[in-house]
Order: sequence, then C-alpha cells, then structure tokens
Amino acid sequence: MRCVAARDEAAFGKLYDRYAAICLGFMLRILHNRAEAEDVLQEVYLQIWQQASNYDIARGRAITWILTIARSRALDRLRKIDVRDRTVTAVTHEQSIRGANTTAIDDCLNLENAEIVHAALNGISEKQRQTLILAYYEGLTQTQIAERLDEPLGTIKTRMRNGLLKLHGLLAAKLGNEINR
Amino acid sequence: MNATHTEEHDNLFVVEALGVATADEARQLDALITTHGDGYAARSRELSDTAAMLAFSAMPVAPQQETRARLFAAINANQSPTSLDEDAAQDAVEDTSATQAQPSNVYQLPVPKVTSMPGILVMRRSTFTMSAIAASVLMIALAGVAFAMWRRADAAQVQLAQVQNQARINVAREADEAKRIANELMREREATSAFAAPDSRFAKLKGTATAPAARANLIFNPRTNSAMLYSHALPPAPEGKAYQIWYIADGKPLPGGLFTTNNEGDGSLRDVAPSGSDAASAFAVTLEDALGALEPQGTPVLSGVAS
Repeated sequence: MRCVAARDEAAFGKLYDRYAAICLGFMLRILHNRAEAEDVLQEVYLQIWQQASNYDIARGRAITWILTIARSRALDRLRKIDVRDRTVTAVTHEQSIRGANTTAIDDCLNLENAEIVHAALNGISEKQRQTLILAYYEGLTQTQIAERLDEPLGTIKTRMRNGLLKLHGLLAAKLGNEINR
Repeated sequence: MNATHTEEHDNLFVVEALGVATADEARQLDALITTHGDGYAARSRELSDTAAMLAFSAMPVAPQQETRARLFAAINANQSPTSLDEDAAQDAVEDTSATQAQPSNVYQLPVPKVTSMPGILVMRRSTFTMSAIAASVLMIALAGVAFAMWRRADAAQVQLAQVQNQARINVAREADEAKRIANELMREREATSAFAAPDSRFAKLKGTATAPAARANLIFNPRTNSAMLYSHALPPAPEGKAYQIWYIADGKPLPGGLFTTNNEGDGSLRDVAPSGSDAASAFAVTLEDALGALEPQGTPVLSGVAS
C-alpha cells in the first residue's frame, strides 16, 4: 500500500490482481449485475489509487480497507439501481476466479480464504449466519433485519453479536495473527 | 481490551464492523474508543477484519481485461483533473437528495480529498465516453477497411487464379510446342538418316483422278523395314476415315500404316513396313476406314513406284 500511495503503478497492478476477483465476486453478490459490478470495481480501485496515502495500517488490514470501500460503493450503487433493471445474473464458471489478471497464487489465496470462511460460517448457527449476511451483503441495520425477519430487535442484536464474535474466534483459530492481532 | 466492556459495547463493535452502524451508534463508538483507548480500537479493528472476511464467502470472479485497461487508462488520465460536467453534477445532486431523503445504512468512511472524486469520476466517465465513441468510429473505419481489403483480396485472388490458369495454359502450349519441335527434329533426323542410307528407296507418289493435285514423297528402307511418307494437297479425310499406305510386292498390296492430313492436305507417316514388304517396288495410298483394312477397300488417291 505504501508503494501504491507513492504512485507506483506496478504495485497498484499487483494489488488489483490480488484482490480484484474477490472484490468483484463480493460486489456481484450485492449487485447481481456483472456490468454494474465491474463498473463499481473500477470506481473502487480509482478510490484506492487516490486515497492510498490515507490508508493507515494501524487502523486495519489493507484487505479490510479495500473491502470496506467496495462494500460501501456497491451498496450505494445498489440503491441507485432501479430494482426493475436488476437481473439476477448467474455467475458461471467461465466468469469465475480463473482470469487473465489473477495469478495462480492469488487464486489459491482467495480460494483458501474462501474455504476457511465457509468452514467458519458453518461453525455458527443458520440464524446467526443469516443475520450477518443480511447486514454485510444487504447493508440492513439491526432494526431493518428485525423487521424483515419479524423478530425482536434484542434477538437480532444478540444473534448478530454472538454470531460475529464466534466467527471471529473460528477465523482467528484458522488464520491466527492475520485476523487476531 | 478493556475488561469493563459490556455487551452493549460489543454490539457497537459489531454493527460498526458489519458496516451497519447508525450515525448515533458510530458516534457512541468513537466516544468509547476515545474514552477507553487502544484496547477498544484494537477490538474494533479485529471485528472489522472478521466482518471483512465475509466477503470471501462470495465466489471470486475474475474481472474482464477491459476493466483493468480502463482503470489504468483512468489513473493515467487522472493526473490533470477536470471540472464536473452536467451529468456528473446531476448525479451529485441526486446523490445528495437521495442521502437526505433516505439516510444510508452504511457507515460512510471518512474520505479525505473527497472534493476531487467527482472530478475524477467525471473525467473517467468523459474519458470512457470519448473512448467509446472513438472506439466505435475506429471499429466502423476498420470494418470499412477490412471490407475493402477483403474485396481487393477477393479480386486479387480471382486475378491470381486467372494468371495461374493462363500460366498453366502457356506452359502446356510451350510443352506441346517443344514436343512438336522435338518430333520434327527427330523426323528430320530420321529422314536425313533414311535419305543418307545407301539401301533406301525413294518414291514420288502422284495423285490419281480422285485427287489429281495430291502428291507425296516416300522413303523406304527394306533393311530396317522403316518408311516415311510426306503428303501434300490430299483432300481431308472424312469423319471415320483415314488414309492407308500399301506396300505392293509381287503385285500384292501389303497393308501399311494409317495417317490423316491437316486442312492443307499435308500429312506424314512414320511406318514400320509389314513383313514381306522388302520386295515392294510400288506404293499406293487409299482412303479406308479409320481402323484400317487388311486389303484395299477404297479407291487409290496416290500411287507411284520406287526409283
């Protein structure tokens, strides 16, 4: 990130190649539209390029910072899109991780992380998982989730808190210092 | 982390980490971190990192090459930011209105230099639009050029085929001509050889009443049983007919070879004389069936004796 902040295009290219696939997959799951997701991806990386000097490693991991930008922009775009225009686009295997811009190592890292996250998500309850996904992928507040699921707000708060804390524990056990510094 | 934190504090960490903190919750969390120090900040980071890992539950999707290319074109073009265009300005107004009408559930990250972002995006969009127009024009031009080149290539291919065909014809003609010349030379050589041979016989054949203008010269070598005949002014043989030479020995005609003539009546024959023809002293030519005859069926058109 320091190199990117210093306007090192090669470093920026590596950063793009490493995380663009995970960002795009993530945003595609939010937007359900490939063209929109690709467009937002470009905006996300432009913002990264512009604001890399503001990234502070003491405030969190680079991937967290990148995914936070991606999520925020994807959810903002989602609100702008007319729901009628949104079509659920199936993500085919040909669109999957194997791309010209991703290296095999990046693919493996992404897949490895994906497997770890999937395993960790399986370690929490279905309802906890549902609450976390609704918050993270749809940007719903605890109140909105409570309304949607027709559950008491307190239940949702407990479920969300316990779910994320347990997920943290499970991921920390797998990823060690990467997640639990 | 500070051991005094409560479930309510954890809840603030969680909603912040998941990006669904309301403005009030965000303020509360900021106040908590300020109050409780690094332990709370670290806790907030840890849970934010955990929440970010949820993105990995989505299937990674490789972006298109064009996205990367456009991105790098944009960052290269981004060195001199442009002002807002009307479209982007409208977008900005709409964004503001939307935010005011329906507050975002997503906690907005502090975005330093945010005032430069619309310019960046406008420029990117403008650059993209101009690039798209330029690409379209270029594509049309390329299509035109490709079509013209295809037409030219097609015409050239036809022309090449014609040239190749003509070349093949010319080569065949040349080969035929060379073969004809070679045959001519061989005949000349044989004629010279036959003429020079001491035991050769010569006969001048004259046209009969059927073809009074016709004439022929014959060289016959009984030792080698070879004969050569050159005719002139013979009427062209009708369809299915040919001229046949007869070697007359002891008053008996022995069948020789067949030949035809060109439109001028010129014809030639290299013949292997039949057995018993070494005694021949007279010769005749008749018009016979094209397959030949064992005995003369037609009327003689040429006849003569050896000198």
